Amino acid sequence: MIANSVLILAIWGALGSILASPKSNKIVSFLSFIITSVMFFFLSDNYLAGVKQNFSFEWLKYMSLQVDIDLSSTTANYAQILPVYVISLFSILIAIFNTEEKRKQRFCCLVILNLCAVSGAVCAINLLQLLICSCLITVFGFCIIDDMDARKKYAFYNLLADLSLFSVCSLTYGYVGSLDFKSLPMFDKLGSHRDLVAILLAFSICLKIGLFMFHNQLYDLSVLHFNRLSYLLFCSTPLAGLIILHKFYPLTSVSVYARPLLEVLSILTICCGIYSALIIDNIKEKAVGLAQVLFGFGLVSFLFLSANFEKVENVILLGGYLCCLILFAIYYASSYELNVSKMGGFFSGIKFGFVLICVALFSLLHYMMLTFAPANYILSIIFSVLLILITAHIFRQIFFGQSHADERVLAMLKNPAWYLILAMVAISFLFWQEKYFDYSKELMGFFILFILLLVIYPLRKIEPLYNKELLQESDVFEDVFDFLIITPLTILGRILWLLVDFILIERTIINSLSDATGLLIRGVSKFNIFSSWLYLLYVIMSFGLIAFLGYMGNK
Amino acid sequence: MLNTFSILSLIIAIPFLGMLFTLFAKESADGTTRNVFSVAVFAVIANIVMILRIFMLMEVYKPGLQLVETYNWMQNPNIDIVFGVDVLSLMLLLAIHIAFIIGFIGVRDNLVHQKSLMVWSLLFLSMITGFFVAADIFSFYIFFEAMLLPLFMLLGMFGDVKRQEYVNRFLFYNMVGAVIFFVATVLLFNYQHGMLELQQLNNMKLDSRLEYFIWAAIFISLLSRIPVWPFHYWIASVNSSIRNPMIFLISMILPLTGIYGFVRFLPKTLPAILGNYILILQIVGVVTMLFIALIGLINKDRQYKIFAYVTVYYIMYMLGILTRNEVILLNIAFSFFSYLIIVASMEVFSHYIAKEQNRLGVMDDGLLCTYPKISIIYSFMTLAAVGLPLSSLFLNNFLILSDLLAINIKMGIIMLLSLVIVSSALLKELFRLRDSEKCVLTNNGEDISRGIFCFMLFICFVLLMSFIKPLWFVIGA
Repeated sequence: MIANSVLILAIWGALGSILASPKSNKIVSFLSFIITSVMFFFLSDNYLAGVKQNFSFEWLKYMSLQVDIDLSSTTANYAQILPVYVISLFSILIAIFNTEEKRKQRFCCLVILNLCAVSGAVCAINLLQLLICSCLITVFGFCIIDDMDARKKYAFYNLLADLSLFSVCSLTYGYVGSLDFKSLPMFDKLGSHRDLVAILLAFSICLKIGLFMFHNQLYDLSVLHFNRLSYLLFCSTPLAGLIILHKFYPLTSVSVYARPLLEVLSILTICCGIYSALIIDNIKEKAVGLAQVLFGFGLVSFLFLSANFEKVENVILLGGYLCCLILFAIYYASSYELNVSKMGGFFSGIKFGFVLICVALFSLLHYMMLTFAPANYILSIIFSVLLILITAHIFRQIFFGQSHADERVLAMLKNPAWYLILAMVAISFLFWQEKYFDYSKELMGFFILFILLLVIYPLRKIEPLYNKELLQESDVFEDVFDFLIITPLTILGRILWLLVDFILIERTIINSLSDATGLLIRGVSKFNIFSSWLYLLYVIMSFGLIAFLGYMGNK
Repeated sequence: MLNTFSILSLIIAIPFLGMLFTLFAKESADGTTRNVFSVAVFAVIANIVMILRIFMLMEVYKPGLQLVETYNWMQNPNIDIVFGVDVLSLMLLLAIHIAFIIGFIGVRDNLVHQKSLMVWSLLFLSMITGFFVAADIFSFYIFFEAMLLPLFMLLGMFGDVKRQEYVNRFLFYNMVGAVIFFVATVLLFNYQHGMLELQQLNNMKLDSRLEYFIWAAIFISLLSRIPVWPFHYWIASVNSSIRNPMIFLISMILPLTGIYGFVRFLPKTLPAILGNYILILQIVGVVTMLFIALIGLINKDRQYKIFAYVTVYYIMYMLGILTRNEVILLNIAFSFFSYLIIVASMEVFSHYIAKEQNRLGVMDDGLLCTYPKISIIYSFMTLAAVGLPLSSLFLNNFLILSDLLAINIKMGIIMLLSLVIVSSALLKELFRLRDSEKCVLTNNGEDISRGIFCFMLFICFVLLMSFIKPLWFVIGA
């Protein structure tokens, strides 16, 4: 079933993106939504019915390389793919009805193609299929980004990530001799340079997900439309990074460095996300911060507690997307006001919106408890409290207190658009699908804490930081990378060019050869003059040479 | 003559005949050279058809040379000329011919010495075809040297003000290589007392001093064609001085002859005498890769960036060949197929962009925004060049690198680093050209015609197919 859906969607997506035109913008987008919905319902039906179907296509069969494309429908694959379908469907829906999105058809078709690539990555049972799908996800993500600066950074980060993954796959295949993921544990016995492989893998995962130190690429995406930003944060390269981590998990243990590195960076990512969500004024960057926080939660629980990957993925993808939708709804309600410092007192204008947002938030908290509490109860409480702390702080600034909003914004305040409400309600509903009241006491506690935080507003002292330009605009890691990597490489390149090409080859070797040839010609021309004495000298020298050769020959 | 009609001789003859026809083709009344161009293109297309026919005739999975043709040239001394092909040489030939067609598109509107350009290009094509089908040491040597003449002439005609200097460098490096190779050929001929097929070299037992000299001579002469330090300098000078895509293409193909020479000459088990030298060559090779990649990164000249990319890949292939691993060898052949087409396309469109920039008198930052068709093709080629799964380069490089990393991890890592740097340089250039903020909005921009765009889309399709199934054009392969 997954195979059929991938095939149908790939054909539709490819045709749609090739034949994109302003005339067919809405109709093709709408048809894309319908086709994706149909596929989603078939897949979810099969998932609920527990239908399994094997599909393996023999792609390459050479002596040196045998590669099968696997798109088998298994419960685990369904569980990983369906959240991506949900996000894709709502992204397409928002793109169709949101007036800010101009190139609807192209975006919808790219979303569909990306969905196919993600399906391929999830179903991959060999290194090459995953590598190819990861590259395709990078390319589709690149096409979805419609800003040149954001594209640049995205491309360089992902080029490095894909080449690192490429090296990992090459090294693994070189030592193990098999592309199958099942053979990965054999690398521990057969392979060498384990540290290198594991660190390259960790590097690739960090770059893809945008973990701490490598998160700048995600913040640069905040210039995009909110819908595109939300989609890219959860269905593009960060998701590819998660899938890579899941599939290559055995390789992270071949070295003592990789897993601690990932663990430390995951914790730092949570800190970085909290910092951005609290300190940064731009609402889209706050969304990125929240996404980082959820990615961090998921990774910490997966790496430290070995929590169920499918559930962790659900929290990250659906939970993170829900957080983005909440901020998108506020952004929409305030007539696209970008800065939180220019909001405040919105509650009176959008009461319904606020209630809905709170319901969505508590649905997410409920699902987080369901996912993380069985692995570690204390940690799940900490995660939930942190999320409440951040969201309560943001909501306090936006909905209550004195308004800093423009008069025009206040006058035009409106409840979120129906498609945003639908998306939030649908995802919240999905979170309540299992075990209703397992953590009702904790939820009640969270609710009281949330209200208290809204009333007390304990982090009010950090509000003036919105005016600190240095904090808002600084791009520390870009400067660090520039200073530590780009500048030395550039200087090295210039020195090498000057020293080796110009001074050594051009000025020394070639000029010396040229001068030597000139000297030789001048020397020979001095001898080559009409003189009987010189002829006599040449004849004697020739005889001498013959005599010498004769002597050497006899010897 | 043992064979009366032979297809391998024919593919050498067709470009040569094309050259003769081009020489006698009349220019149009308005002074344009459309006839000359058409004849040249027709000759190359005819040869492509013949090459595809040869693919049909041979068993692609059978090792060794096939369709062997032998001609007795002289009785005393006894010299036979032997031709033969395998999948490797045929893939390279097909790629070169496609690259030539792409190159011709780049010089379609050239008005300066167009006839000479076509004539010498076709002569080069004929010679290089002969080189790739040569199966004995004499024909190999003859074609190896004969292909220098057209490039020499083209450099003299199309070079910039410093052409005299570049031609001197070109002559110096290549003449040294030629003389040494000639001595090695004569010594081998003398030792064998007659004709020597290249395949026999693998099994030949030589006297240790002679072996040392012969291998040294062959290595130096082949290396003189490859942009390994310090031989890279003449190629770099030539490539950065000539603003004609066809000549860039020819000078870019020339190092391939050195690489191919290694494939043909090196025995399966390397002589012990070469062990230390191979190590030195590996070190020099990877250092050159890194060195050129870094210069490519900082150099603002787009042509130099393409040259840096070409160099890094050539050296990687050379180091791969030196491992004498069958899997690597086969993958290099398939990889070359995409590589040559990609580089030719990038160079042609890069030249087109430069031409438009000069015509409009603007900076080239953001220029591609005005040329959507060129933008699509150039972007596709750049992305394929950096190693995304858009051509056979991806799969073949995966296998080449997996073996090279397993053989020598340090060498492999420097290679990877060089690939990253050179890919970044290409990507950086693409972004600069597509920078919408610096977009040059003009109504005078002339994008490529619909016909050329369709042809280039077909080339993209060929590359994509080479990724899905490398020998897709061979029935039953």
